[in-house]
Amino acid sequence: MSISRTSSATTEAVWEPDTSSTARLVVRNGLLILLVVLIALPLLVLIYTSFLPPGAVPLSGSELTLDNYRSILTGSGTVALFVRTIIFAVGSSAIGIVLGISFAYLTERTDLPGRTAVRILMFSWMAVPALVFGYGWILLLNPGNGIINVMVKAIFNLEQAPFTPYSMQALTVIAGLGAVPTAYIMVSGLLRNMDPSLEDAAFVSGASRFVILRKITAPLLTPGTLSISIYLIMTMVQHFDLPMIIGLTAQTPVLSTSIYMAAAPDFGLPNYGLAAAFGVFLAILAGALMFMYFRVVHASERYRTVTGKSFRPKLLHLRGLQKVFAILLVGGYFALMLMPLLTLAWASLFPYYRLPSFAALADASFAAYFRVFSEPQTFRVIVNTVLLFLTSSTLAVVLSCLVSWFAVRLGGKSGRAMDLLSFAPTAIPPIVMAIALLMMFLRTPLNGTIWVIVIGHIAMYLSFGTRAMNGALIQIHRELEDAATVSGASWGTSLRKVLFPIIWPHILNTWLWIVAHSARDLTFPLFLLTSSNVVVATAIYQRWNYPDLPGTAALCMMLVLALSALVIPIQIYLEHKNLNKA
Amino acid sequence: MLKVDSLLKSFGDHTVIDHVSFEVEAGDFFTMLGPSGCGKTTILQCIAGLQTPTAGSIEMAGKVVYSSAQKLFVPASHRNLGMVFQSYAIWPHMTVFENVAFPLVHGARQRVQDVDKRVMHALEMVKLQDYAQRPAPFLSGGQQQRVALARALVHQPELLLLDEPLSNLDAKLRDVMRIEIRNLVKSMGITTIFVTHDQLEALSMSDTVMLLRGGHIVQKGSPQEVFLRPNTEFTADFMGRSNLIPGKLSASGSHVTTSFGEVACNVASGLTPGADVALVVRPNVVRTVAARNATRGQNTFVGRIESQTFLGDLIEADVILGGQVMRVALDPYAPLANGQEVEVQLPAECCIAVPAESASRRG
Ligand SMILES: Nc1ncnc2c1ncn2[C@@H]1O[C@H](COP(=O)(O)OP(=O)(O)O)[C@@H](O)[C@H]1O
Ligand SMILES: [Mg+2]
Repeated sequence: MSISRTSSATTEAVWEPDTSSTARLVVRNGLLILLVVLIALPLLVLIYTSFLPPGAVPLSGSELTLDNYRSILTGSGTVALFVRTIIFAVGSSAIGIVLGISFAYLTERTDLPGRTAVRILMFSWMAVPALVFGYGWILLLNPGNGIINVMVKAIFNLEQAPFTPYSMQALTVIAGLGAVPTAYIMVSGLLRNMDPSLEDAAFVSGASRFVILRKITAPLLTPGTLSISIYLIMTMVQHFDLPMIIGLTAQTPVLSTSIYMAAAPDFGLPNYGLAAAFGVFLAILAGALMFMYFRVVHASERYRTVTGKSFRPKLLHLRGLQKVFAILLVGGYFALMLMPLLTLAWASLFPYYRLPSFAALADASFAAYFRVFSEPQTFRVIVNTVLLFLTSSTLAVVLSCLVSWFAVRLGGKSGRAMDLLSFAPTAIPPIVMAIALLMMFLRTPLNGTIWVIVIGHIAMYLSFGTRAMNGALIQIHRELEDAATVSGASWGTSLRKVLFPIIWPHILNTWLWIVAHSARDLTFPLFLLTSSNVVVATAIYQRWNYPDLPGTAALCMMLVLALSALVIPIQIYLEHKNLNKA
Repeated sequence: MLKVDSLLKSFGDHTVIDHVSFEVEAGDFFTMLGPSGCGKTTILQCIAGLQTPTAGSIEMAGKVVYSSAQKLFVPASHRNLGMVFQSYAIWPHMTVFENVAFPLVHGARQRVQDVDKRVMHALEMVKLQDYAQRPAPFLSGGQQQRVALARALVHQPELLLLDEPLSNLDAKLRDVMRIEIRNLVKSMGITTIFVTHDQLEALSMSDTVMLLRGGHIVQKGSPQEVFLRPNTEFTADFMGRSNLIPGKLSASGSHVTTSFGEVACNVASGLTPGADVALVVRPNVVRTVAARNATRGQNTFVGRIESQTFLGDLIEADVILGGQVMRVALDPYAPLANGQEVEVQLPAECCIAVPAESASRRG
């Protein structure tokens, strides 16, 4: 035994203080290079492109110019554009955060009936693409034959349709409703991590539940809520899908849609330089918000109330009117969320749009579904979509696990560099990344293939993936891995046999999130669209504009059902795992 | 068996281990003792290869496993160690059997044939043979610790490293495990390095105790040596409550001049006459009786009882002696009154003069 040890000891001896195994060294350097190529390089290409004259593409030898910046800064609509972007982002985030806090408090701190179901539904909302949600609302609010308009007109005997989806207000409210689940997930995490003994201490000193809420809970949650709000505003500033399908018709472009219009105008040649310059501004805006976010997070470190232990806070008993009101609020919200889906489901059953009625039901059929499926293009679309979300989610998760390991466990300069690089995409708007990748791959064989979209999604979702995995790794005592190493396991074995099996629910959850977001995203597929890389999101977009309403609706329903079939069971499983642990 | 030479470990410009050198004999039960933050874990992790030292060298069984001069580092997985962690680090997704089998199945050593037999043997050693198929999360703290021990021993390592393995157990279990661990490793003849901040554990389990403070070795020796012949105020105080009475070493070098008189005592090596010293007197060696008017012998002084605390086994009392407070132990069955004059006798063979703290303190 001793002989075998000494012989292997001499062959394995290395000199690399930080990375005591060769495999680890290779992986670390590979990851660093990959992150630079995936994230830093596109940014540089973007900045370079923003100095190109109209019509030019990168590496074509054109002279560099400041024209794009000049035209943006002197343009008549520029100030209005920025103001509109901010109003949209702040407004929709406000709706999201107010409702998110209310629901999080109701499900985490009160005995609201069905609160587990509410949690699961909130966590499963990722199965509904913004695109589908938006089209559903357009059908509901359409001035001509939108269901809500027709009903309100009939009830109040109005001449004019009272609502329109094509306005800043409608866009903001719809985006705000869609942001509620994200806000809910973040706030409920905050509540779950709050030490209930802080509230108990106040309760024991004789304070009423209401006083505790006002004097203890709310102040403790304020810094966390503030950082979540800034985070939401940052994502809404970058949001593209809803401003694209609603805002453009409403003639209310925001920064993200301006980039698209410059790069893919209805008339004339694409102006990539101008698009990139807009992109630089958008990235600066998002970067500034990210800076604010970090300032707030840093300041709120003082308020850290995480105990690290699992605990069960006492639940507030809802009585009488309180209960009725709470149920109405939650029920009303889910009704608002389901209405657009039901409308699309209805629309998918008829060859032309009909108002809902029992009479119409006689003509309902699945013809649109069969028609969509019988088209030769569809097979291609499905293959592309599956290829897209499976490869991008799986690769992004593998990368996230490794990057997080180096960032959390090894630290040092390289760990910090990886952490920073992988987090940067949070402040890189998807549309900006898309234009950068388009420029980067323009002259490569990858141009126009599904793989450019895959690369874009990996780069974008790496930030979510590494945040989630960092959180998981921090919770796992490093001695668990050390014990494997001392037992003689290699680095790879300690990851495969010990670490990854332990954080498996986190890995699954992260993978699922990326799958859903990759399958629903319109930004990258639309921006990089060619005839060969159509995915379901772009197929829906094309059909809507064609226009083919039943076909669009049928595709939407199929996408939502397919994603729900994947997301809901996994969310139920994860919820139970969580409950068991607590 | 283990030779650590000039081990240096810094985090940035913060030096945590400052050129520490020591050797451990084969088969020794060697304890690193010291207050929290003195660097015990860091040294242990350097020995294990879980941390890379800044400089120095470490030799194991005649093989260099780390040397900054030779630029050599053998990773932890190739040092053939057994280790029990403070958190036990039992893998929650495996059964007891799988936990213990891990070093045999996934270790970087040669394929092991009789995994089942060896795992069961290891489990028998820690009396857990009936728990083999139990999932790890369903174990009590004491059982988890036994699993950790079995896992550390199953591959017959040359060196066993234990990092405060008893600190998470309740007091009763701690007493049992103290004896069990020592018996187990002694019967296997395995060299053991044990880390603790508890002097009782160190005294009761070790062949050799090495006392650390702020990244330095303060004293090393058998438990008796370290306890009975402390070489510093720090050792005396850390190894058990002591009166530390300031004084000066007399010209003869065998007495200490204190505020209440000349005290004959043992003297730590390296002290010269006239040096500032601390006289170490443990409360339980002091003989205290009601003052009589008889002639007094050597090392006998008169004081007054200031206060008393009843502790059951004994009464702890503070006696004022020439303006100096002396903590003494009194017989609970022969109570004395507060304010009473008492005669205090300090047996010379139980008193020892050590360098005064300001002189002995380094760094
Ligand atoms: N990764 C680290 N970075 C900076 N300082 C550290 C690190 N690990 C340990 N230390 C410092 O080293 C000293 C010794 O730590 P440690 O060996 O864990 O002490 P012990 O085990 O004796 O309680 C402590 O002061 C601790 O703060
Ligand atoms: Mg320690």
